Amino acid sequence: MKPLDLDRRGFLQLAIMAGAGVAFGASGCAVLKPGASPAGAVFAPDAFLEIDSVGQVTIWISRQEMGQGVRTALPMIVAEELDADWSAIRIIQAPLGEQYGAQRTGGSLSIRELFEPLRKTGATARAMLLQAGADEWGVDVSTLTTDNGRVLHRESGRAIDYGALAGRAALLPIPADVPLKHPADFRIIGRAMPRIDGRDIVTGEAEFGLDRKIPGMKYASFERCPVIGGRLRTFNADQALKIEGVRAVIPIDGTSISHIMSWANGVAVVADSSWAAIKGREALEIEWDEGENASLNQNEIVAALEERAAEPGVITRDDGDFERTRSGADLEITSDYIAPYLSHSPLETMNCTADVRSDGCEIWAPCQFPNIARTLAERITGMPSGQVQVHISLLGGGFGRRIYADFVGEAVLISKASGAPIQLLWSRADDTRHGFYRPLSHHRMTGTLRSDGSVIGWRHRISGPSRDALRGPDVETPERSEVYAANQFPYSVPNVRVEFNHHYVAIPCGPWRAVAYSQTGFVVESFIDELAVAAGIDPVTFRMRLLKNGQTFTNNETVVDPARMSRVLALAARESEWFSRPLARPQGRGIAVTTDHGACVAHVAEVLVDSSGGLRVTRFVSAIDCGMVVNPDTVAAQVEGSIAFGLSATLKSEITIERGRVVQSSYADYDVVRMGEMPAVEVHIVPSREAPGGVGEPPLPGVAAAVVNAVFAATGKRVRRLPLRADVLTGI
Amino acid sequence: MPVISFSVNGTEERIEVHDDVPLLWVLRDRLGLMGTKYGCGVGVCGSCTIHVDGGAVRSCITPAASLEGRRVLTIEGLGGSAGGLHPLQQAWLDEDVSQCGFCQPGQLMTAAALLAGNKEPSDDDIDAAMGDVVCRCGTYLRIRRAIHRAAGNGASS
Repeated sequence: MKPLDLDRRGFLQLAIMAGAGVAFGASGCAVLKPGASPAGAVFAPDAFLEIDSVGQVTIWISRQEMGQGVRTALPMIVAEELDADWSAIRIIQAPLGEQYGAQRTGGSLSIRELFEPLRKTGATARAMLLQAGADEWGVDVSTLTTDNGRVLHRESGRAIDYGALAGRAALLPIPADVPLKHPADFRIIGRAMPRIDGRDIVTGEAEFGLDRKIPGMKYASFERCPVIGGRLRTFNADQALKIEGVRAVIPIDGTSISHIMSWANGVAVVADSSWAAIKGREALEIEWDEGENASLNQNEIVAALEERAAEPGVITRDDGDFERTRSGADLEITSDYIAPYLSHSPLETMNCTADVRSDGCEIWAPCQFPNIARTLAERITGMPSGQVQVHISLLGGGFGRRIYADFVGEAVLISKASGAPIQLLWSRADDTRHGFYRPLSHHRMTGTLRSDGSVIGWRHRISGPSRDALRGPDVETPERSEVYAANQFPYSVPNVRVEFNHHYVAIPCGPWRAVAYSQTGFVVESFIDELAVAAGIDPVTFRMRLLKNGQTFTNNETVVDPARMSRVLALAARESEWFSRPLARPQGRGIAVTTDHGACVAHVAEVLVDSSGGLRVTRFVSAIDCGMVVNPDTVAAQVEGSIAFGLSATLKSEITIERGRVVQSSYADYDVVRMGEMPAVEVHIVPSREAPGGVGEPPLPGVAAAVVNAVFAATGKRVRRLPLRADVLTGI
Repeated sequence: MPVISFSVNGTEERIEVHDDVPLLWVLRDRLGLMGTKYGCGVGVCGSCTIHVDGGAVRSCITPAASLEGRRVLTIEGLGGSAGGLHPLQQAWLDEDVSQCGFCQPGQLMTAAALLAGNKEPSDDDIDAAMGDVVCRCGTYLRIRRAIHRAAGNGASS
């Protein structure tokens, strides 16, 4: 038992400081100012929860909302165990602070990491409210129960609101090891709940990064060298300074600060308005030292990868003896796959508002890893921890791009240099051309089979740049970031080899939704399909056989369970009428099954290819097993969204490099799927009481393979290079 | 600098603007209407869509100086002056459309202009009208459903 102590008083203090955060009400009520508004005593059993004397329940959201639904799902977990009245729930986006634990948002981890802790938060508070009720009425606590924000005394029929017990509960010792509910008793977890701040979104009230305004704020735009890694030689600011509203033109060099700031070199324009900053930047005259990357061209990069693919690479998985199977096989197939560079291109471009003062630094940014933002700011300002405050707005999309906080570093540098609070806006072209891309990758796949259709050997040789080689070519283990998904080959094949050939390219690469799984899902699930076709066995049956005798193993903190994969495969096959309603050409159906981030997903895609090669993806039937589901509507939305994101990568998007520059600049040339291109989507969720798995990433990796497998079924044409270009399908 | 008079969400505004400043930045930097979003600045994503005299317009490529005497409606004014919701906004909530939410003001304004001229749009009508408004999160299916729902609830009346 822990008595009321300084920790809790300390927390109350912190809760008041957190008042800078923005709160949203479940019923759409106005912004809450915590610490200011609670009437009377406040019951705050830990950093995540506060109940005031009028019964308002405030929950701090310690992970960033970027559309994956944490602002709704995390409170649902607390509210469930608390037996709270959902309409009394308010949320506050927590600023960066030790009391909230890890706040990085990525890896489909938020629910996985916070499910148990937040259940305990809710259950502990409920136990204390029950005790407070017992004390209030002078009855034994075992005679009390709770329901919808009230403590009830069954025998007498008395009821009292949580708010009326908040003061009493706040004085009680915090109990340890409070029992949690049995999942069968859940009434909030597992229910489709609408987004808690939905009204703010549709009315335009929701605050994203660029919506922050602070007193005295100036606007900044930053010109970087168009050639990756190029540096400023000289510049002339005369014309820029003539633009009305332009206040300062400042050379900026952040390249020595951190490897993720390696490209932050250029000229910043600081102005009274966004438009003046943009115009001022256009008027800059700059001479760049384009550096050694100015000769980098797409075709040469691809050619180099094709050349590397002929050589054996570093072996990262080696079951049995793959080479020996080649002499004993009845059939050997080799295919090369290429997945392109991809940009995240969230709708909200990178941006940050920074105020560097002599006594501290304050940052407002849409970032997935606010801890990285703070570290950069500390390095730039030389300020100790505690003098740098990071506030987090809504993220207008993340997809992994906002893990890196390079834009925060730039804003801090510009604020520091200009001596004013500034808001840095990246243009769409900046965002497209200065990203951390999904790396281009070449995959040489070789499979060996016996005449009975059994697969005896599998070799996956990846050649390409490495995400881990951000600092330069001299990285010790460049394969680490590129092979873990390929190493996870889940099928029961006795001889498996995975290899990696590192080819350094100076294009910055980083995590892109589902990271290495995104390319590997495409390649592995396409090539398995090729083997099924070669074996003359139906692709679902073929996979089922290969999963049947598979062993469960752990890879990259993911439990690979072939039985679980089989279940989603069977569910997707059944719901799509895979066997019972075959499609005839020019229609086709394709399947893919993948597992990552704690979940298994199977997609069946249906396509129609017309005589001129026009491709339409008409339908997706998807099955997901992500363990226990907090908000099934969010799970469905993430599957729908992953299909859209994956279809963009399959059909439309590609970043290419010419003369060391990213060629594309906006959605006009880095195209993504539009409404009319969306297939119908059916999502089937496997009921489960297993621990929650991830949802934001697992539905992504199989999307491309399901489509290209369907295209094969419809046309007999195997697509091995993305994006799938229309001309590939002409003349069939 | 020219001075222009125009109405924004029913309020008469009279402001000095540069010849070339896009309406987007006047709304955001000058009038504090932050619901209209910068997504691309070159008119290809639709996040900045607002209405001028009832028609959907991309504010990032519309010079404010061209709006003398015109009537501008932004997401903040879509629900009317009493703080209510337009039927489309309600339908958006009913279908739980939003993911990150950033593009949704532009989606809503585009949809509202569609319904104003087409009381019962077909899927094809919707896809054609909404086809140039990008949603990176992939909420398209729900947007389409929400438009149908709002049309059924008399959004166009």
